[in-house]
Amino acid sequence: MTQPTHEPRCPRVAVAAAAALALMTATVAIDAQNVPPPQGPAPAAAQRPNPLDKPGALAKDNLAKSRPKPPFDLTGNWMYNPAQNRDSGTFGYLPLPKLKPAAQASYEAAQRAQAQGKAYKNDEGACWPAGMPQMMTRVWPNQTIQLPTMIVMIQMLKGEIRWIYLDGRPHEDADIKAASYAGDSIGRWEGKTLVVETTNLEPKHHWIMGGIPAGSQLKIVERIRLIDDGKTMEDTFIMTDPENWEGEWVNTKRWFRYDNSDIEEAYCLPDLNDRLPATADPSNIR
Amino acid sequence: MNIDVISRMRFHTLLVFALLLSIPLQAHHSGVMFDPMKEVTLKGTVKEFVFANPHVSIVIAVIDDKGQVVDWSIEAASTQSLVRSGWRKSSLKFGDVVTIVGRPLRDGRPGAQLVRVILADGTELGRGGPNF
Repeated sequence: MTQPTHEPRCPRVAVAAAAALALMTATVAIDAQNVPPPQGPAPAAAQRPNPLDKPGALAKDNLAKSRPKPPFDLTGNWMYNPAQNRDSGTFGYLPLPKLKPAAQASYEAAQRAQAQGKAYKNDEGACWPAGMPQMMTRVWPNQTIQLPTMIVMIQMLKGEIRWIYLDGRPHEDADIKAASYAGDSIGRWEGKTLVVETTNLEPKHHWIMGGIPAGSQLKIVERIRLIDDGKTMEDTFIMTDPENWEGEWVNTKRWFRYDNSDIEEAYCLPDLNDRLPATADPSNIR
Repeated sequence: MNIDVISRMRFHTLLVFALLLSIPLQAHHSGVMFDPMKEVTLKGTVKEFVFANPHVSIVIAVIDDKGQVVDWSIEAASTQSLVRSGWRKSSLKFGDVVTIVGRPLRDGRPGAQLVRVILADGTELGRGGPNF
C-alpha cells in the first residue's frame, strides 16, 4: 500500500505558494514596525482585575481610614507559661472533643509512644512549622504589633508569623491563596473582645497536639481579651474540624505580658538538628 | 572512671517533677527521648560549642571505661535562657576541660540534655529555665 504524501504534485504550485507565504510574512513584519503605541483602553483580557491587587494593610489610605477606636492594644511581647495553663492541658488542649476514629487511633498511638519514652511524628523537631494553634503556645515570646488594619504576631521560635486582618476584608478566596500553617485570619471587634476566624490551614505535617492532626477543614475561632489590667492576654480557641472530631473543641489559654526583652532569631536549622542528640536520630522524630 | 552514670531513682518527690522536666520548655522538638530520672556526669574536653537558637549545643570528648574516646553531644536551652542564668558565648571554648551533668538519652547513645556544667575553675553554670 502506498503511503500518503504531502509533496505537491506540481513543482510550480509549490514555488508559487512559498512566494506568497514569504510576501505575507514580510507584510506583517512591516506592519508590526509601523504600529503606533497602544492608545486608549487595553484589550479586555488585560483589563481583568488582578484579585491580588487591593489596598494592602500597610497602604497609607487604608491605615488612615476612619475606624472606631479598638478597645485594647495587643502590641507587646506575650509569653506562654505552661504552668499558668496546666488546667487547660499545658501544651495540649484539654478536655478533648470526641475524636473521629482515625484521629482517635492516631492520638492513642501518640499516647503509647509517650509512655514508652518515644516521640511520635515529631514534625516540629524536623523543622516543620508548629502552625496554628500550636505556634501560640511555644515557650518563646510572641511579639505582637497592632495596627488599625492588622495585627502581626511573630513567634520567636522559628520566626513563625501570622497576620490578622482588621480592615474589613473578607477571607481571601482559597482558590487564589495557598493553604498555610498560620492560615488566613480575619479579625473583628465585638465589644471588648477581638474575634478572629482562621481558615485555609495547611494539613501537611501539621498537628494540634500529640497525634491529633490539623486537617484541611480545620477552622479556628478565637475570642481574645485583655484582662488583669492589660497584663494578661486570654484567648479562647473554638476549633472545628468535621474530619477529625465532632462539634466544637473549646480551650482557653493565657499569656503574660513580657515587655522587658526583645525577640531574636531562632530558626530551626538542619545542621543544628544534625548535631542535637534529640533530633540527630530520625527515630526520635518519626 | 570518667563516666559516672548515676541512676538515682527518686520516685517520691522527683516523680512529680519528672513529667515537668520531660517537657522541653524551650525545645522545638519532643523531649521524651531524654530520661528525666537519670543523670550522667561526664568529664571531658570541649570539641565544639555552638551558641545558637533554638538550642545551644556542646560536644565533649570523654574517655570511657575501655579507654576509648567517645564524643558526647549535649543539648542545652536557648541562648536567652542560658544568658539569664549566667552563660555567655565566651563561657566555653575548644579544649576546655569541663564536667557536664546531663539527662541521658534513653536509647544509650552518647547524648544528653544539659543539667549543669562545672568549668575548670569551679564555676558552675546551670541549664537555664524557661525563656523568661
